[in-house]
Amino acid sequence: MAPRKLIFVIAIALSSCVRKPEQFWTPAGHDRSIIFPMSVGSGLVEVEAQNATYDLDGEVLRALMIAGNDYIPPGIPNPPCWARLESLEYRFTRRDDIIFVYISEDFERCGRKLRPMHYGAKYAISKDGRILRRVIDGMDEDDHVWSLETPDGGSVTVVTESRDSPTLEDLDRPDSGVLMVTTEPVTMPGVIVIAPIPGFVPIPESPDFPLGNTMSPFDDAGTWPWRAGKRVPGTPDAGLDGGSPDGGSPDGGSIGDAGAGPLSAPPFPPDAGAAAP
Amino acid sequence: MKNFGPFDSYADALKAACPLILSKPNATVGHLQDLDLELAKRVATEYCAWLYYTPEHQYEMSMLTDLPQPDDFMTNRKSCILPTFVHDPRYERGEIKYIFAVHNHPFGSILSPQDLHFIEEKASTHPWELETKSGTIRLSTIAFFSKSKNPAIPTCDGFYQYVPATREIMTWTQIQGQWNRTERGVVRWQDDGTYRIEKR
Repeated sequence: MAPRKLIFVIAIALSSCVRKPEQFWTPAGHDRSIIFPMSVGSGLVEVEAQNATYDLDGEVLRALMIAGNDYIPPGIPNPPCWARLESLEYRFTRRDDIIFVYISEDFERCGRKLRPMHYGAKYAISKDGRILRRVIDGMDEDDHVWSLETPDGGSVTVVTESRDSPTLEDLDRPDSGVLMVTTEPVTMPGVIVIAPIPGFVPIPESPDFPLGNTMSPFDDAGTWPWRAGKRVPGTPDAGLDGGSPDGGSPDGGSIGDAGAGPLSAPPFPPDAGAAAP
Repeated sequence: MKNFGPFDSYADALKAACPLILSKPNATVGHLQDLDLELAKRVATEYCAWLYYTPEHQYEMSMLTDLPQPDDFMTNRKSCILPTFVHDPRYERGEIKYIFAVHNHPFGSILSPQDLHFIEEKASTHPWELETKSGTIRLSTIAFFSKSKNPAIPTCDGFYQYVPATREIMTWTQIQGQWNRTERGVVRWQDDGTYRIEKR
């Protein structure tokens, strides 16, 4: 998917560290007081190999090496393509004394059509080379990021350790489990922001509402624009305009659901067949 | 999969798949999490399978995969790779309808962006909606979780579900046989990499 295009690839520098791996190995910490940045800061820059020249300080380079060597420990005999440092993708941002490193995998490079259900990790690494916090996808619980509306019509971003949705009142309580409150816009790729909408009540399973039911349409669902011959996640605009012109749409939902309107434009791939309009 | 189903309804298939998958070795590691986190990470195993609909109008589950990827155990990435197609010798490839990509989250964590990407990618191959005798069903991904701290009793406590067609994200939880949909939201993309879930 597209986010990979935006990720730094510093493979050449990293591939040179295989010879003396122990130098770049460090046990992983689990310091949950460290919060990964919400924002890319002044921008997300893709390193292009051709024209520009870059300065990179040693602390950042070492942090990249530590992250790569933690994700794929050295010493695997004849490693397959995906288990090589040059097959990973690296993104980093430095915030004061902590270097945050995000590792992903370059599936196209290895010609892999099947992706695992989980891959990638993110690291908070101190400038002296310690892994302060590591979040491996599918393994470690990440922090939970919420967008709460404020009385003046604005919003704040709240980070919690708990899965339970916080309230504005929680923000003033010292024991609320709120880790951070910020108004900084969330622009870091891979961050899921949850905006709780009050009033939801659990719905019990019933013959009319079977377990795993997928037919409870959202009134604003189904706005996937076409791009390069396939459906892709909408831009904020596309997500709000209620329907794309080419999204042929029957009234998808048959089972009603409390509070939801009809499904305005359920997306179908052109050759789906099973549910042609 | 032998000794599993077939089932008349997808709800029954899910109710059978959840405890089955969570009872596989190290499918849930809650009991180890507090004792030895590193050990828990080392042994945690993800299993995955397709729940599919057959021309006989039954719901069945494919063989479980637990990642026979060489060298995976040596790295910090351990994840299940689910083939796009199920090989069921009774049927032609096109006769099988794909409904749920099921797997377990050994640590009970919620759906990650990769979970969403995964089923979106499958949705480029399989229909997003299909007709069954139970009505229309949309392709979705499901992650089972257990809250059990007792390795002998890996209870099925629920699952997370994501439906790419509607971008709907849900949590179903079970307490003593009673299932409830306890969370529901819709995923919006701020851009290709950042998500916003509006929860109702």
